[in-house]
Amino acid sequence: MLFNSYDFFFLFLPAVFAIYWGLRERKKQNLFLLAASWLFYGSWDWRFLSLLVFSTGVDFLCGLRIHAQADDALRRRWLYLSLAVNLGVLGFFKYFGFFTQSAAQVFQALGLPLKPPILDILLPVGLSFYTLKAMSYVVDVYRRKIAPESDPTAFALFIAFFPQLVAGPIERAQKLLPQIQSERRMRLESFYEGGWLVLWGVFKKVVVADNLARGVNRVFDSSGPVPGPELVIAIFSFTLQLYCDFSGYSDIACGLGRFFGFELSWNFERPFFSRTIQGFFRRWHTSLFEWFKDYVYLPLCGDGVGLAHRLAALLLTTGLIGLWHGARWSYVQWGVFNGVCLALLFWTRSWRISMKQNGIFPVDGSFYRVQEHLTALFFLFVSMFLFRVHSLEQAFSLSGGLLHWDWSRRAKAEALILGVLLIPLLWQEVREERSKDRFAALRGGVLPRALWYLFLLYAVVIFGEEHAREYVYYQF
Amino acid sequence: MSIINSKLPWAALACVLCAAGIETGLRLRFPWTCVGLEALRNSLPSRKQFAVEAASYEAALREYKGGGIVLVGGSDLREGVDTILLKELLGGKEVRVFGMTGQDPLDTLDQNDYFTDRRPDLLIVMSCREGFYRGYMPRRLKYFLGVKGLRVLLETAHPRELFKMRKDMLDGLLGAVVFSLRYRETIRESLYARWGFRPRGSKEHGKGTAREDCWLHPLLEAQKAAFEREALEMQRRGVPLMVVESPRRSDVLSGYPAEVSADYRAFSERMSHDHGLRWIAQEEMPAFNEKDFGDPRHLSERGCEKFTRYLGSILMGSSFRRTSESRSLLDSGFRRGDGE
Repeated sequence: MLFNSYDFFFLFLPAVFAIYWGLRERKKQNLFLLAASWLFYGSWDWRFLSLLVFSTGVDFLCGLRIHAQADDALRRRWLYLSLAVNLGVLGFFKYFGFFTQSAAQVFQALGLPLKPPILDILLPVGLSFYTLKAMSYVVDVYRRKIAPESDPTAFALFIAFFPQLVAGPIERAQKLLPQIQSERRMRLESFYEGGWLVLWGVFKKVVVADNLARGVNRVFDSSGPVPGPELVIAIFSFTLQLYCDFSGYSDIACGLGRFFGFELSWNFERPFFSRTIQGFFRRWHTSLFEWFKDYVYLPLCGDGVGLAHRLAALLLTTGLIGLWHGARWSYVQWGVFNGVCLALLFWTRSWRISMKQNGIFPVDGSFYRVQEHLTALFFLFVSMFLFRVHSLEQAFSLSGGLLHWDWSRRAKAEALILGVLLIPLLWQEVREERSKDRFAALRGGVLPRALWYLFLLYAVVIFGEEHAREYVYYQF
Repeated sequence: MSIINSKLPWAALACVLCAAGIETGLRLRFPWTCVGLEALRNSLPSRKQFAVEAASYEAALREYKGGGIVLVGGSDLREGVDTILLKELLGGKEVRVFGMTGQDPLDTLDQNDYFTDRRPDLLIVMSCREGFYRGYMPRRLKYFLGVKGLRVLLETAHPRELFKMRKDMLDGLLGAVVFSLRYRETIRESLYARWGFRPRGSKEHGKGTAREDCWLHPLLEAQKAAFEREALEMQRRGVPLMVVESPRRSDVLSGYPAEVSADYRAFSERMSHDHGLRWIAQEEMPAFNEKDFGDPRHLSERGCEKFTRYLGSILMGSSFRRTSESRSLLDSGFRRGDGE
C-alpha cells in the first residue's frame, strides 16, 4: 500500500484515523496502531510480516536480556545475537545473490569456475530501514544510553509505526519510544502542520518526481550514448526526482505522524542550499547518515587515531552506505566516490583554513560563496549520476554523449518540464530556507496562502500520475 | 510549538471555497465553450484534440433541451457519425451526438435519467464488443459512475472483483463530483499539446489487438446488467431505443475471440427478443473496406460519410421495431423529411 495510492488515502488512513482517535486510552491506541501498521506492512506480502514480527521479537528479547545481565561478556553475547540475527536477515534477503555472484566472478578470474546457488529471493520492503532501527535500539541499550522497553506492544510499534516503516526516517528509540509511552492529545495545529506536510509531500512525489521519472528512465535505461543536453538534463532531473521522491515520502511520513500525535525526525533539510559537500550530507537523508556516523564511523575511528585511520574509516563507512542502498557495485562506487570527496576535504581542511586566514581566498565575497556552492552542486550531480547508472561501463558509455552537443526537440521538452517543475519547488524551498522555518507556508496573508494551497491541490489533481508510482527508496 | 494557536485555518478554508467555486464554474457551459474554441485554434488536428472532445461533450450536455434523435456512445460514435449530414438526410430533424472515448454501459447507465427526462424521439446507442468485454473503466471517460452504476456493480460483481477495482470505483465516484479530476487527462494533454510537445505516454486510438482488448471479463455481467437496466428504463419511460454496432475493420473483427463473438451475439438476440430492441449488427451494414477506417476502430472521413448515410437510410425507413409507448417518430419528422 503506497502513500500515494487511493487505498491508502481514501480507505486505510481515514479508517485508522477515526478508530485511533475514537479509542481514548493510550494502550488501546498503541495496540490498534500496531495492528494497523502490521496490516499496512502485510498488504505487500504477508510473508514479509512474519519476518518483521520475528525480528521485532528477537530485538525485544535481546534488549531485555542485555539490560538484565551484569556481566559484560554476557551482555556482549546478547548484543552479538541480536546483531547476527539482524545482519543475517539483511544479508540473506538483500545480499545473498550479490555476494555469491561476486565470489563466483572472483573465482572465475582466478581460473576456478564456480557455479553459485541461485535463489530467487524477494527483498522484503523496508527491511533495510527497520533493521537499522532495531539495531540502533539494541546497541543503545548495550551502551546504557537507554533503558530497554518492557512493553512489547510499545516496542513493536516503535519498529513498525506505519508512516516510517518502509522508508524511514530511521527513528532512534530515544525519540520515538517516549512519544509512544506518553498520552497523546488531538491538537488542531498538529493537523494543520500535518496537512501541509502531506500536501507538500504529495505534490513533490506525484507532480515533480513522477513527471520527471519517465524522461530520466528513458535516458538511463538506454545502453548507448545519448546527446549531451539530454544526458545533462537527465542528471539534473534525476537529482531532483530522487530528492522530491524521497523527501516527499519523508514529508508525508512526518505529516501522518502529526495526525496521530507523533513528531518524527526531519530527514531532509533543503540540501541544495548547502554550500559544501559535507553540508549536503548533513541535510540529505539525515537519519541514515547520522546512523552510520554513530554506529559505524565513530566506533571505527575510536579515540586518538591518526589521519590515515580516520580516512580509512570514512571510506569504509561511505562504502557501506553505498552498499546499504542496494546489492550492486555501482552503489558501492557511489559511496566510495562520496567518501573520496569527503576525505579530500577532510585531508585539506587545515591547508584550506590557513589559506583563508592568510587572505588568499576572499571568503566573505559573494563570488567565493557562489563558486563554493557551484562546486558542491557539481560534485553532487556527478555523485547522483554514479548513483543512477547501472554500472561503470554504462557511466562511460553514457558520458560519451557529452561530446555530441545537439539540442534535440526532446531535450528542449525535457528542459521545459524540468524548468516548470523547478519553479514551485524553488519558491517554497527558498521561503523555508530564508526563514529557517519548515512551516513557512502556514504563515503570511490568508489570500496568498489560499492561492498557494489551491495551486498545489490542482497541480496534484491534474498533473498527478493516475497510477501510483512506487517510491524509489522502497527498493532499498 | 504552537503554530496557529488553534485558530481556524482561514487559508485552507478559503482554498476549499475557491476549489468549490472552480468546480461549480466548470459545470457551466461557458468554460467548455472557451476550451473548445481554444482547442480549435490549436494547429493540431481537432479530431485528436482531447479538449475538443471534452468541450463538445460537456457543451452538448448543456445545450440539449429535448426531442430529436440522440446518439450515445464512445469515440467511434464521435468520429463515425457526421451530425450535419445526418441532420440533412433526416430533413432537418434535430440530431445530438454524445460520443466520448471509452463509454460503456456502466458509464451510460448513470446518464440515463438525463436523456429520458428530455424525452428524445429516438435514442441510438452505439455498441461494440469492447464496451462489454474489456476490463472496466477505460482510461479517459470513466467518471459517470453514480449510484445506479454502483448498485449494478454491487449486485452483479463478485466481491473479489469489487475489491480488485476499488481504486477505479473510488476514482470514478470522485470524478463524478470533481470535474477537474474527471478531465485531468484532457486538461493535461491539451496543455502539453499547447506547449509544443507530444503528450508523453499517450497512445493512439485502437492500437491494441482485438484479442488483447476483449475477453470474457469478470465484469461482463455487470456491463450486461447495466445495459439491460438502461433498456428497461427507456422502455418504461417510452423512449424508443435502437442499438447500432460500431463498424470495425476486418482484422479487428476476425481477431475477436470466438467465445466473445458468440456471447455478444446471444446477448444482442436476447435483448431484441425480450425488449423489442432493434439491434443492427455490422453484417447488416454495407461492407467497409480499409480506406473507410482511420485506424482499426475508428472510421475515416470516407467511412464516416458511408456510415452516416447508412444510418440515415435506416432511420428514414421503418425497419426498426418501436416499443408500444414510443411516439410516432416516423410518421412525423422522418416522413416529413423524406417527403421534402
